Amino acid sequence: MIRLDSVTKTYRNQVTALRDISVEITKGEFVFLVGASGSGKSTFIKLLLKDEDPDRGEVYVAGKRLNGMKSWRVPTLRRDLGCVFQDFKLLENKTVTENVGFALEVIGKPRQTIVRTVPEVLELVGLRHKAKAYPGELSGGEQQRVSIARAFVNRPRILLCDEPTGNLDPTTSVGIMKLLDRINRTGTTLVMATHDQHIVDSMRRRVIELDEGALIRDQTRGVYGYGG
Amino acid sequence: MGARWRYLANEVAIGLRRNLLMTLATVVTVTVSLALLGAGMLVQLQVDKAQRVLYGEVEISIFLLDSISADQRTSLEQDLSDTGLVQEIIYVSKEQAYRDVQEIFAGDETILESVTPEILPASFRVKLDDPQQFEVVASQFQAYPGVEEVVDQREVLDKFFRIMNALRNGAVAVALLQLFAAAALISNTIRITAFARREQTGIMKLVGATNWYIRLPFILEGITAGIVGALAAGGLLWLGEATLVSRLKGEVNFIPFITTADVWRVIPVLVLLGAGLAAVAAFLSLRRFLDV
Ligand SMILES: Nc1ncnc2c1ncn2[C@@H]1O[C@H](COP(=O)(O)OP(=O)(O)O)[C@@H](O)[C@H]1O
Ligand SMILES: [Mg+2]
Repeated sequence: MIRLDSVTKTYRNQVTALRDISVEITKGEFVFLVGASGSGKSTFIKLLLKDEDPDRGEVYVAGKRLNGMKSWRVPTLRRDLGCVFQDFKLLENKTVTENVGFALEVIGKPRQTIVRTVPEVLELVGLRHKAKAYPGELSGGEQQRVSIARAFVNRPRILLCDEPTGNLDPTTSVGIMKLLDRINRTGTTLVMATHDQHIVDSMRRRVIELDEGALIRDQTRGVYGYGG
Repeated sequence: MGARWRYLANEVAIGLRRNLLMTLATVVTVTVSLALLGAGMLVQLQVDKAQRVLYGEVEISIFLLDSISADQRTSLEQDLSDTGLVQEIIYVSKEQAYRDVQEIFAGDETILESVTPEILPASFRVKLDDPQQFEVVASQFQAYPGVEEVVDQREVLDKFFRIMNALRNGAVAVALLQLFAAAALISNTIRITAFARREQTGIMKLVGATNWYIRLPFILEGITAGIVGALAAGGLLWLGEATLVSRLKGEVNFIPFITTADVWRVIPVLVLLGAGLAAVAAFLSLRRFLDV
């Protein structure tokens, strides 16, 4: 589902964010991407989204080779991917329903599909009752649920989350993790960058650890760091 | 499909309203530039029309008195060709002159009604090998029996056409400058809009909206401003024709003038130009400001 072959990424300011990373993630996996701030987690996710291109190595996502992919093909790739960020990225002037529907609208889904699917996914994230609320009227956890609903509404094969609990308190984070776990159980491959030790330790999923751009650990059913 | 068009219409309306002042400035600039350009085109049409009538192939007209005898006419023609300066001589009878007028001023009823074959003189149209030799021919035939007048149309006309061409060039030059300004304004409007919509655009990219889908509202916004400007310019030209040219028509009746039909021919060109310019300006600035 996702494969990186000897991937190196150096930004224009000569910072090497990823060094010779090789990793394979199969369908349905739940993978934590851990490491200190600046270790290259977000860069890893940006490469999968083809938001950035590697300097060396190959990237494959959802059966597509990203190297040299024509820019007009990128939208097709992204329709196979959902993404969730620390800052939610919701449109303040749209309601919850509109925010989620927007993701379908702009890829040309017919009206009937939107009207049918959006309430379903809101039900899934537990926000059916806030359908008409605006993001400003929601708590952080609720906003993140909307963001997850939007990422998932098109049933992507892969869900990419970059510090989805970074702005949330521990209790709220647990709820979000339960939701992500549910989504993963529907067969969605899930990659989540985080530096939240408690979450990683409690979930016991595959852990890939980065340190200054190098892959230093890849462990099934892992914890955040050796010896806690 | 429904959702998509509603989205587009909405975005364009929001965009135009958000930058009302910028939009207004853009439309006005487009209007002024295209009106000038259109005016230049109409002047050109006017020059063409007048030239066709006034120059023709002929450099000298020798108008004949109605009293000229057949013998006088034959010897005049003979003497003309004997000068060795003449390339071609065409005899235009009164009837032929009348037919020419009818053809040239077709559709211009006021002129046609005021013209009869009787009031038009017969003439020789003389084409010289060297147009500079006009004085020689003129002095030789001015006093010829049966000749009313020898007229070199070029001298008067050249001055007239020089003025017209200068007018046209001036209008076109200013128009091009204005078009640059219009393109810059459109580009700037798009920069502002792109900035105001950067969050929305970012999300659209993330969820896999196509580049064209993201671009389209911006481009349509530009095109709308371009078309509205072009139509306003067309309106101004129509007004100009209806007032200015119509008044001239009443006073100067020896040349044909452009008509409303000519204005109608220019307007589609202006609309295409306005829309095209806006689309190109929008497209180029999108690459810079939106990275799509
Ligand atoms: N767009 C960018 N331009 C230049 N340097 C960047 C850019 N994005 C990230 N970096 C640098 O790359 C390194 C890895 O960053 P990032 O992938 O964001 O790490 P993380 O998400 O683990 O905090 C950092 O040193 C960061 O400063
Ligand atoms: Mg990061």
